[in-house]
Amino acid sequence: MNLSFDINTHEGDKVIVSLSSSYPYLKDIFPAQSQEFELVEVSIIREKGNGPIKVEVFGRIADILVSIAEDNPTTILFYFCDIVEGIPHLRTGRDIPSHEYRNYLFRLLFQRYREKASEHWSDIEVILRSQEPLLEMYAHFLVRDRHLPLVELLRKEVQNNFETITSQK
Amino acid sequence: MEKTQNKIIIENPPKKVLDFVMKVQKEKEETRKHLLEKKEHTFSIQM
Repeated sequence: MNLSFDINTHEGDKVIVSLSSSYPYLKDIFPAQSQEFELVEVSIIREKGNGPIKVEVFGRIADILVSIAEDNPTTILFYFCDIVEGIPHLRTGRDIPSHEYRNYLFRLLFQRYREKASEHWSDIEVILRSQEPLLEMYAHFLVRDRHLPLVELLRKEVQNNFETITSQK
Repeated sequence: MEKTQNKIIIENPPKKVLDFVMKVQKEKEETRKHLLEKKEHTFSIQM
């Protein structure tokens, strides 16, 4: 899968969303299961606008993600909260790292996703906590019930400190 | 490591894991640049 779309609001905001299954790192955790699922990375990027993005935009993104994911029975969606660039906060005065705030926003997005979906999906959060906040990691896997066993493989991989991934050249 | 059903949390991971995270962050920067340079998308939505 490889597609992208943009959402433009009359307030002048522009958000780009891409879905791509050409992300290699995590597929290598589950080589034996790669026939049964397609890991699709979701990227959400703000191209224009400075104020907070309207909640309706996140709702629309969620609706589209549901539509695409439910048309593809093997899809697992993956979202990695990056730290690139700051983002306007919904509540002024808060000062948390960008990736932590993106994690919060994605949880909100998933609430709408789950409401819209006709199947049952779970949002599996993977969080790495560190003494150094910028080295922390927040990621989400949106999975159907039948893919939950794969999450157990992921849990073991994390337990083994990403041995499979980090041992690769 | 916390083991609630929908969360996988690891505290103070080793350096090799943090190095992996940094590598992924760099990949995300490249993805961002690529998408911002992209002239056309599969579809567009007006709200």
